[in-house]
Amino acid sequence: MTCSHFTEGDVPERYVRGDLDPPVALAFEEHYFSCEDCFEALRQLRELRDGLESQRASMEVSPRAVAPTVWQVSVAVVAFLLAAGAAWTLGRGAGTGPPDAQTAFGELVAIDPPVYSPVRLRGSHSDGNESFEAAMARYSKEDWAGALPGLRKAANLEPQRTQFAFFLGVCALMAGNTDEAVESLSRAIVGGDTTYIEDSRFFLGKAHLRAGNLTAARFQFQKTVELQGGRSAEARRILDRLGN
Amino acid sequence: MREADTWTTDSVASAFMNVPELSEMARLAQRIRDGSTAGEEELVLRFQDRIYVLAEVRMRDPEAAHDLTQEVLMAVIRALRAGQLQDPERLAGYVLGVAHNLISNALRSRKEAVSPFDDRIPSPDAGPEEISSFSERRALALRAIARLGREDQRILFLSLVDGLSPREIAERLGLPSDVVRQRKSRALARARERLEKVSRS
Repeated sequence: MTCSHFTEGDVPERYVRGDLDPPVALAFEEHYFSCEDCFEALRQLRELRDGLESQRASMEVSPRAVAPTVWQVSVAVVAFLLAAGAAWTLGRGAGTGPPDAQTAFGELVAIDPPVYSPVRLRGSHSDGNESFEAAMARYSKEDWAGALPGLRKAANLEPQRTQFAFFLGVCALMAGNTDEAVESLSRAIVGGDTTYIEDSRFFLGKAHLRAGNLTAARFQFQKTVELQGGRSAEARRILDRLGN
Repeated sequence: MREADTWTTDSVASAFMNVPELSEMARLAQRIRDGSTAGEEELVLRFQDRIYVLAEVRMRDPEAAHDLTQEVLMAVIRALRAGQLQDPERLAGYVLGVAHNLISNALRSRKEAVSPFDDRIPSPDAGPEEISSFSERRALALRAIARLGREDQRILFLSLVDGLSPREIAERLGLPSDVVRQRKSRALARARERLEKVSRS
Protein backbone atom coordinates (compact mmCIF):
# COMPACT_ATOMS: atom_id res chain seq x y z
CA MET A 1 0.00 0.00 0.00
CA THR A 2 1.47 3.31 -1.06
CA CYS A 3 -1.03 5.80 0.44
CA SER A 4 0.32 7.53 3.53
CA HIS A 5 -2.97 8.92 4.83
CA PHE A 6 -4.77 7.36 7.78
CA THR A 7 -1.89 5.07 8.68
CA GLU A 8 -1.97 5.98 12.40
CA GLY A 9 -4.40 4.86 15.06
CA ASP A 10 -5.85 1.80 13.29
CA VAL A 11 -8.38 4.00 11.51
CA PRO A 12 -9.60 1.39 8.95
CA GLU A 13 -10.03 -1.24 11.65
CA ARG A 14 -11.95 1.04 13.95
CA TYR A 15 -14.02 2.22 11.02
CA VAL A 16 -15.06 -1.35 10.24
CA ARG A 17 -16.04 -1.82 13.89
CA GLY A 18 -17.95 1.43 13.88
CA ASP A 19 -16.13 3.05 16.79
CA LEU A 20 -14.33 5.89 15.05
CA ASP A 21 -14.91 9.43 16.16
CA PRO A 22 -17.60 10.67 13.71
CA PRO A 23 -15.55 13.42 12.02
CA VAL A 24 -12.70 10.98 11.46
CA ALA A 25 -15.11 8.40 10.02
CA LEU A 26 -16.41 11.03 7.62
CA ALA A 27 -12.89 12.05 6.63
CA PHE A 28 -11.93 8.44 6.04
CA GLU A 29 -15.02 7.85 3.89
CA GLU A 30 -14.24 10.90 1.78
CA HIS A 31 -10.72 9.58 1.33
CA TYR A 32 -11.45 5.98 0.39
CA PHE A 33 -14.01 7.12 -2.17
CA SER A 34 -11.02 8.44 -4.12
CA CYS A 35 -8.09 6.28 -3.01
CA GLU A 36 -7.69 2.79 -4.50
CA ASP A 37 -5.04 1.72 -1.99
CA CYS A 38 -7.08 2.60 1.07
CA PHE A 39 -10.28 1.13 -0.30
CA GLU A 40 -8.52 -2.14 -1.13
CA ALA A 41 -7.03 -2.24 2.38
CA LEU A 42 -10.50 -1.63 3.82
CA ARG A 43 -11.99 -4.35 1.66
CA GLN A 44 -9.30 -6.83 2.75
CA LEU A 45 -9.96 -6.00 6.39
CA ARG A 46 -13.68 -6.63 6.00
CA GLU A 47 -13.05 -9.92 4.22
CA LEU A 48 -10.69 -11.08 6.95
CA ARG A 49 -13.20 -10.06 9.58
CA ASP A 50 -16.00 -11.93 7.80
CA GLY A 51 -13.75 -14.97 7.42
CA LEU A 52 -12.90 -14.93 11.13
CA GLU A 53 -16.56 -14.50 12.04
CA SER A 54 -17.42 -17.60 10.03
CA GLN A 55 -14.91 -19.53 12.15
CA ARG A 56 -16.37 -18.38 15.46
CA ALA A 57 -17.19 -21.87 16.68
CA SER A 58 -13.59 -22.96 16.37
CA MET A 59 -12.07 -19.91 18.06
CA GLU A 60 -12.77 -21.18 21.60
CA VAL A 61 -12.92 -17.74 23.14
CA SER A 62 -15.25 -17.00 26.06
CA PRO A 63 -17.71 -14.05 25.97
CA ARG A 64 -16.19 -10.71 26.86
CA ALA A 65 -16.79 -9.22 30.31
CA VAL A 66 -15.45 -5.91 31.58
CA ALA A 67 -15.94 -5.38 35.32
CA PRO A 68 -16.86 -1.96 36.73
CA THR A 69 -15.91 -0.96 40.27
CA VAL A 70 -17.42 -2.96 43.12
CA TRP A 71 -19.43 -0.10 44.61
CA GLN A 72 -20.97 0.73 41.25
CA VAL A 73 -22.16 -2.83 40.84
CA SER A 74 -23.54 -2.92 44.39
CA VAL A 75 -25.62 0.24 43.98
CA ALA A 76 -26.87 -0.68 40.55
CA VAL A 77 -27.64 -4.30 41.46
CA VAL A 78 -29.85 -3.17 44.37
CA ALA A 79 -31.78 -0.86 42.05
CA PHE A 80 -31.99 -3.60 39.41
CA LEU A 81 -33.31 -6.21 41.81
CA LEU A 82 -35.82 -3.86 43.42
CA ALA A 83 -37.08 -2.80 40.01
CA ALA A 84 -37.45 -6.45 38.98
CA GLY A 85 -39.40 -7.21 42.15
CA ALA A 86 -36.79 -9.67 43.40
CA ALA A 87 -36.83 -10.90 47.02
CA TRP A 88 -33.09 -10.52 47.56
CA THR A 89 -31.63 -7.34 49.13
CA LEU A 90 -28.18 -6.56 50.27
CA GLY A 91 -29.36 -6.88 53.87
CA ARG A 92 -30.13 -10.56 53.34
CA GLY A 93 -27.32 -11.08 50.99
CA ALA A 94 -24.36 -12.28 53.00
CA GLY A 95 -23.28 -15.43 51.25
CA THR A 96 -26.73 -15.91 49.75
CA GLY A 97 -26.90 -13.03 47.27
CA PRO A 98 -27.55 -13.49 43.57
CA PRO A 99 -24.12 -13.85 41.96
CA ASP A 100 -25.65 -14.38 38.52
CA ALA A 101 -27.44 -11.04 38.74
CA GLN A 102 -24.24 -9.30 39.81
CA THR A 103 -22.29 -10.77 36.89
CA ALA A 104 -25.04 -9.99 34.40
CA PHE A 105 -25.43 -6.45 35.66
CA GLY A 106 -21.69 -5.99 35.66
CA GLU A 107 -21.72 -6.71 31.96
CA LEU A 108 -24.57 -4.25 31.42
CA VAL A 109 -22.79 -1.33 33.07
CA ALA A 110 -19.40 -2.10 31.54
CA ILE A 111 -18.06 0.79 29.46
CA ASP A 112 -15.93 0.58 26.34
CA PRO A 113 -14.88 4.19 25.79
CA PRO A 114 -14.83 5.41 22.18
CA VAL A 115 -11.35 5.70 20.76
CA TYR A 116 -10.25 9.15 19.76
CA SER A 117 -8.01 9.96 16.80
CA PRO A 118 -6.85 13.55 16.52
CA VAL A 119 -7.82 15.12 13.22
CA ARG A 120 -5.08 17.32 11.84
CA LEU A 121 -6.84 20.11 10.01
CA ARG A 122 -5.71 23.32 8.50
CA GLY A 123 -7.84 25.57 10.67
CA SER A 124 -7.97 27.85 13.66
CA HIS A 125 -6.40 26.82 16.96
CA SER A 126 -8.64 28.07 19.71
CA ASP A 127 -7.78 27.88 23.40
CA GLY A 128 -10.54 25.33 23.72
CA ASN A 129 -9.04 23.18 20.95
CA GLU A 130 -5.59 23.25 22.50
CA SER A 131 -6.90 22.25 25.90
CA PHE A 132 -9.08 19.56 24.34
CA GLU A 133 -6.29 18.00 22.27
CA ALA A 134 -3.89 17.97 25.21
CA ALA A 135 -6.52 16.31 27.39
CA MET A 136 -7.39 13.77 24.71
CA ALA A 137 -3.75 12.72 24.51
CA ARG A 138 -4.16 11.61 28.13
CA TYR A 139 -7.57 10.11 27.35
CA SER A 140 -5.97 7.98 24.63
CA LYS A 141 -3.62 6.57 27.26
CA GLU A 142 -6.64 5.80 29.48
CA ASP A 143 -5.48 8.42 31.99
CA TRP A 144 -9.05 9.44 32.81
CA ALA A 145 -8.25 11.47 35.94
CA GLY A 146 -5.44 13.21 34.09
CA ALA A 147 -7.66 14.11 31.13
CA LEU A 148 -10.53 15.54 33.14
CA PRO A 149 -9.12 18.99 34.04
CA GLY A 150 -8.27 19.77 30.41
CA LEU A 151 -11.63 18.58 29.16
CA ARG A 152 -13.45 20.66 31.79
CA LYS A 153 -11.45 23.70 30.75
CA ALA A 154 -12.19 23.11 27.05
CA ALA A 155 -15.90 22.65 27.74
CA ASN A 156 -16.00 25.83 29.83
CA LEU A 157 -14.20 27.84 27.16
CA GLU A 158 -16.45 26.60 24.35
CA PRO A 159 -19.69 25.32 25.85
CA GLN A 160 -21.35 25.07 22.42
CA ARG A 161 -18.94 22.35 21.28
CA THR A 162 -20.78 19.03 21.54
CA GLN A 163 -17.54 17.12 20.94
CA PHE A 164 -16.04 18.62 24.09
CA ALA A 165 -19.14 17.90 26.16
CA PHE A 166 -19.32 14.34 24.84
CA PHE A 167 -15.75 13.36 25.63
CA LEU A 168 -15.88 15.11 28.99
CA GLY A 169 -18.93 13.01 29.79
CA VAL A 170 -17.28 9.76 28.71
CA CYS A 171 -14.09 10.58 30.56
CA ALA A 172 -16.02 11.44 33.74
CA LEU A 173 -17.86 8.13 33.41
CA MET A 174 -14.59 6.24 33.14
CA ALA A 175 -13.21 8.12 36.15
CA GLY A 176 -16.27 7.16 38.21
CA ASN A 177 -17.79 10.70 38.31
CA THR A 178 -21.28 9.60 37.38
CA ASP A 179 -23.03 12.88 38.19
CA GLU A 180 -20.60 14.87 36.07
CA ALA A 181 -20.96 12.31 33.28
CA VAL A 182 -24.76 12.64 33.31
CA GLU A 183 -24.58 16.43 33.24
CA SER A 184 -22.02 16.59 30.44
CA LEU A 185 -23.58 13.94 28.22
CA SER A 186 -26.97 15.62 28.67
CA ARG A 187 -25.41 18.86 27.43
CA ALA A 188 -24.04 17.03 24.42
CA ILE A 189 -27.55 15.81 23.61
CA VAL A 190 -29.05 19.27 24.01
CA GLY A 191 -26.61 20.33 21.26
CA GLY A 192 -29.10 18.74 18.85
CA ASP A 193 -28.82 16.25 16.01
CA THR A 194 -25.02 16.26 15.78
CA THR A 195 -22.72 13.41 14.93
CA TYR A 196 -22.43 12.71 18.67
CA ILE A 197 -26.12 12.36 19.39
CA GLU A 198 -26.26 8.58 19.23
CA ASP A 199 -23.14 7.93 21.27
CA SER A 200 -24.18 10.61 23.78
CA ARG A 201 -27.54 8.93 24.37
CA PHE A 202 -25.94 5.50 24.60
CA PHE A 203 -23.31 6.50 27.16
CA LEU A 204 -25.82 8.57 29.08
CA GLY A 205 -27.84 5.38 29.35
CA LYS A 206 -24.77 3.65 30.76
CA ALA A 207 -24.24 6.52 33.22
CA HIS A 208 -27.84 6.23 34.45
CA LEU A 209 -27.37 2.46 34.84
CA ARG A 210 -24.33 3.04 37.02
CA ALA A 211 -26.25 5.57 39.07
CA GLY A 212 -29.02 3.01 39.54
CA ASN A 213 -31.57 5.11 37.67
CA LEU A 214 -33.12 2.41 35.52
CA THR A 215 -36.04 4.47 34.23
CA ALA A 216 -33.73 7.15 32.86
CA ALA A 217 -31.39 4.48 31.49
CA ARG A 218 -34.23 2.74 29.65
CA PHE A 219 -35.30 6.06 28.15
CA GLN A 220 -31.84 6.78 26.74
CA PHE A 221 -31.35 3.28 25.34
CA GLN A 222 -34.78 3.44 23.71
CA LYS A 223 -33.82 6.75 22.10
CA THR A 224 -30.59 5.13 20.92
CA VAL A 225 -32.54 2.27 19.32
CA GLU A 226 -34.78 4.78 17.54
CA LEU A 227 -31.76 6.47 15.98
CA GLN A 228 -31.04 3.20 14.13
CA GLY A 229 -27.31 3.71 14.04
CA GLY A 230 -24.31 1.62 15.02
CA ARG A 231 -25.31 1.48 18.71
CA SER A 232 -28.86 0.44 18.04
CA ALA A 233 -28.36 -3.33 18.30
CA GLU A 234 -26.38 -3.07 21.54
CA ALA A 235 -28.93 -0.71 23.07
CA ARG A 236 -31.71 -3.15 22.13
CA ARG A 237 -29.82 -6.02 23.81
CA ILE A 238 -29.45 -3.95 26.99
CA LEU A 239 -33.15 -3.08 26.98
CA ASP A 240 -34.03 -6.76 26.54
CA ARG A 241 -31.87 -7.67 29.52
CA LEU A 242 -33.43 -4.94 31.58
CA GLY A 243 -36.74 -6.50 30.83
CA ASN A 244 -38.06 -3.88 28.44
CA MET B 1 -10.68 28.86 8.95
CA ARG B 2 -12.77 26.03 10.28
CA GLU B 3 -13.55 24.54 13.67
CA ALA B 4 -12.13 21.10 14.33
CA ASP B 5 -15.50 19.41 14.35
CA THR B 6 -17.05 21.02 11.27
CA TRP B 7 -15.83 18.79 8.48
CA THR B 8 -17.06 19.75 5.07
CA THR B 9 -16.43 18.15 1.72
CA ASP B 10 -14.41 21.23 0.75
CA SER B 11 -12.09 21.04 3.74
CA VAL B 12 -11.35 17.37 3.19
CA ALA B 13 -11.10 17.70 -0.59
CA SER B 14 -8.56 20.49 -0.13
CA ALA B 15 -6.48 18.13 2.03
CA PHE B 16 -6.47 15.55 -0.73
CA MET B 17 -6.07 17.67 -3.83
CA ASN B 18 -3.04 15.64 -4.89
CA VAL B 19 -5.15 12.51 -5.42
CA PRO B 20 -4.33 11.77 -9.08
CA GLU B 21 -7.79 10.51 -10.10
CA LEU B 22 -9.59 13.86 -9.83
CA SER B 23 -9.25 14.84 -13.49
CA GLU B 24 -10.36 11.34 -14.44
CA MET B 25 -13.47 11.93 -12.35
CA ALA B 26 -14.24 15.10 -14.24
CA ARG B 27 -13.94 13.28 -17.56
CA LEU B 28 -16.23 10.51 -16.33
CA ALA B 29 -18.87 13.00 -15.21
CA GLN B 30 -18.73 14.71 -18.59
CA ARG B 31 -19.09 11.43 -20.48
CA ILE B 32 -22.20 10.54 -18.55
CA ARG B 33 -23.64 13.98 -19.14
CA ASP B 34 -23.01 13.44 -22.85
CA GLY B 35 -25.05 10.22 -22.75
CA SER B 36 -22.30 7.59 -22.56
CA THR B 37 -23.66 4.23 -21.41
CA ALA B 38 -20.11 2.98 -21.03
CA GLY B 39 -19.46 5.91 -18.71
CA GLU B 40 -22.45 4.96 -16.59
CA GLU B 41 -21.18 1.40 -16.37
CA GLU B 42 -17.78 2.68 -15.36
CA LEU B 43 -19.34 4.80 -12.64
CA VAL B 44 -21.17 1.77 -11.28
CA LEU B 45 -18.02 -0.35 -11.30
CA ARG B 46 -15.97 2.39 -9.67
CA PHE B 47 -18.34 3.30 -6.87
CA GLN B 48 -20.63 0.33 -6.29
CA ASP B 49 -18.38 -1.43 -3.78
CA ARG B 50 -17.46 1.78 -2.01
CA ILE B 51 -21.09 2.78 -1.57
CA TYR B 52 -21.95 -0.71 -0.33
CA VAL B 53 -19.15 -0.70 2.25
CA LEU B 54 -20.18 2.76 3.45
CA ALA B 55 -23.83 1.77 3.68
CA GLU B 56 -23.11 -1.52 5.41
CA VAL B 57 -20.84 0.09 8.00
CA ARG B 58 -23.36 2.87 8.68
CA MET B 59 -26.53 0.79 8.59
CA ARG B 60 -25.28 -2.58 9.91
CA ASP B 61 -27.72 -4.30 7.56
CA PRO B 62 -26.26 -5.96 4.43
CA GLU B 63 -29.59 -6.29 2.67
CA ALA B 64 -30.53 -2.68 3.27
CA ALA B 65 -27.04 -1.65 2.21
CA HIS B 66 -27.43 -3.53 -1.08
CA ASP B 67 -30.75 -1.81 -1.82
CA LEU B 68 -29.41 1.57 -0.86
CA THR B 69 -26.34 1.14 -3.07
CA GLN B 70 -28.55 0.77 -6.09
CA GLU B 71 -30.66 3.74 -5.06
CA VAL B 72 -27.57 5.93 -4.71
CA LEU B 73 -26.20 4.90 -8.10
CA MET B 74 -29.50 5.62 -9.78
CA ALA B 75 -29.78 9.01 -8.13
CA VAL B 76 -26.23 9.96 -9.12
CA ILE B 77 -26.61 8.84 -12.72
CA ARG B 78 -29.88 10.74 -13.10
CA ALA B 79 -28.26 13.87 -11.71
CA LEU B 80 -25.23 13.53 -13.98
CA ARG B 81 -27.41 13.02 -17.05
CA ALA B 82 -29.29 16.17 -16.16
CA GLY B 83 -26.04 18.10 -15.74
CA GLN B 84 -26.74 18.83 -12.10
CA LEU B 85 -23.15 18.34 -10.91
CA GLN B 86 -21.76 21.88 -10.78
CA ASP B 87 -18.14 20.89 -10.28
CA PRO B 88 -17.28 17.63 -12.13
CA GLU B 89 -13.93 17.48 -10.33
CA ARG B 90 -15.86 16.71 -7.15
CA LEU B 91 -17.65 13.65 -8.52
CA ALA B 92 -16.39 11.34 -5.75
CA GLY B 93 -17.47 13.82 -3.08
CA TYR B 94 -20.83 14.21 -4.77
CA VAL B 95 -21.43 10.45 -4.81
CA LEU B 96 -20.46 10.27 -1.14
CA GLY B 97 -22.80 13.15 -0.32
CA VAL B 98 -25.73 11.48 -2.06
CA ALA B 99 -24.93 8.24 -0.23
CA HIS B 100 -24.82 9.97 3.15
CA ASN B 101 -28.12 11.74 2.50
CA LEU B 102 -29.92 8.58 1.47
CA ILE B 103 -28.44 6.63 4.38
CA SER B 104 -29.60 9.33 6.79
CA ASN B 105 -33.08 9.25 5.26
CA ALA B 106 -33.21 5.47 5.48
CA LEU B 107 -32.11 5.45 9.10
CA ARG B 108 -34.60 8.14 9.99
CA SER B 109 -37.54 6.55 8.25
CA ARG B 110 -36.53 3.02 9.31
CA LYS B 111 -37.35 1.57 5.96
CA GLU B 112 -35.41 0.93 2.75
CA ALA B 113 -36.69 2.86 -0.26
CA VAL B 114 -36.30 0.82 -3.43
CA SER B 115 -37.11 2.63 -6.64
CA PRO B 116 -38.10 0.80 -9.80
CA PHE B 117 -35.21 0.19 -12.14
CA ASP B 118 -34.75 2.21 -15.28
CA ASP B 119 -33.76 -0.36 -17.86
CA ARG B 120 -31.20 2.06 -19.31
CA ILE B 121 -29.20 2.08 -16.10
CA PRO B 122 -26.68 -0.72 -15.65
CA SER B 123 -28.11 -3.03 -13.05
CA PRO B 124 -25.82 -3.83 -10.15
CA ASP B 125 -28.03 -6.74 -9.00
CA ALA B 126 -26.10 -9.62 -7.54
CA GLY B 127 -26.08 -12.14 -10.38
CA PRO B 128 -24.44 -15.52 -10.36
CA GLU B 129 -21.07 -13.91 -11.10
CA GLU B 130 -21.27 -11.68 -8.04
CA ILE B 131 -22.43 -14.44 -5.73
CA SER B 132 -19.63 -16.67 -6.98
CA SER B 133 -17.18 -13.81 -6.51
CA PHE B 134 -18.33 -13.32 -2.90
CA SER B 135 -17.86 -17.04 -2.16
CA GLU B 136 -14.45 -16.99 -3.80
CA ARG B 137 -13.31 -14.00 -1.77
CA ARG B 138 -14.56 -15.64 1.41
CA ALA B 139 -12.57 -18.77 0.55
CA LEU B 140 -9.47 -16.67 -0.13
CA ALA B 141 -9.83 -14.88 3.20
CA LEU B 142 -10.11 -18.23 4.99
CA ARG B 143 -6.96 -19.45 3.28
CA ALA B 144 -5.12 -16.33 4.39
CA ILE B 145 -6.32 -16.75 7.98
CA ALA B 146 -5.50 -20.46 8.05
CA ARG B 147 -1.81 -19.65 7.52
CA LEU B 148 -1.68 -17.81 10.85
CA GLY B 149 -0.89 -19.47 14.16
CA ARG B 150 -3.83 -20.39 16.38
CA GLU B 151 -3.20 -17.68 18.93
CA ASP B 152 -2.73 -15.04 16.23
CA GLN B 153 -6.08 -16.08 14.75
CA ARG B 154 -7.67 -15.64 18.18
CA ILE B 155 -6.06 -12.23 18.62
CA LEU B 156 -7.39 -11.08 15.26
CA PHE B 157 -10.81 -12.58 15.97
CA LEU B 158 -11.11 -10.83 19.32
CA SER B 159 -10.00 -7.57 17.74
CA LEU B 160 -11.77 -7.50 14.37
CA VAL B 161 -14.92 -9.44 15.23
CA ASP B 162 -15.52 -8.84 18.93
CA GLY B 163 -13.98 -5.37 18.90
CA LEU B 164 -11.87 -5.89 22.03
CA SER B 165 -9.03 -3.50 22.76
CA PRO B 166 -5.46 -4.88 23.04
CA ARG B 167 -5.71 -4.50 26.82
CA GLU B 168 -8.88 -6.58 26.95
CA ILE B 169 -7.41 -9.21 24.65
CA ALA B 170 -4.31 -9.34 26.84
CA GLU B 171 -6.46 -9.98 29.92
CA ARG B 172 -8.44 -12.65 28.12
CA LEU B 173 -5.41 -14.51 26.80
CA GLY B 174 -3.07 -13.90 29.70
CA LEU B 175 -0.52 -11.96 27.65
CA PRO B 176 1.12 -8.55 28.12
CA SER B 177 -0.68 -5.73 26.28
CA ASP B 178 2.33 -4.70 24.23
CA VAL B 179 2.81 -8.29 23.06
CA VAL B 180 -0.80 -8.39 21.92
CA ARG B 181 -0.37 -5.11 20.02
CA GLN B 182 2.74 -6.35 18.24
CA ARG B 183 1.33 -9.76 17.40
CA LYS B 184 -1.90 -8.29 16.19
CA SER B 185 -0.11 -5.81 13.95
CA ARG B 186 2.14 -8.52 12.46
CA ALA B 187 -0.68 -11.04 12.08
CA LEU B 188 -2.88 -8.50 10.31
CA ALA B 189 -0.08 -7.49 7.95
CA ARG B 190 0.67 -11.15 7.15
CA ALA B 191 -2.99 -11.98 6.59
CA ARG B 192 -3.47 -9.01 4.28
CA GLU B 193 -0.31 -9.80 2.36
CA ARG B 194 -1.41 -13.42 2.00
CA LEU B 195 -4.89 -12.37 0.90
CA GLU B 196 -3.44 -10.04 -1.72
CA LYS B 197 -1.17 -12.84 -3.02
CA VAL B 198 -3.89 -15.48 -3.27
CA SER B 199 -6.26 -12.94 -4.82
CA ARG B 200 -3.76 -12.22 -7.59
CA SER B 201 -3.08 -15.88 -8.23
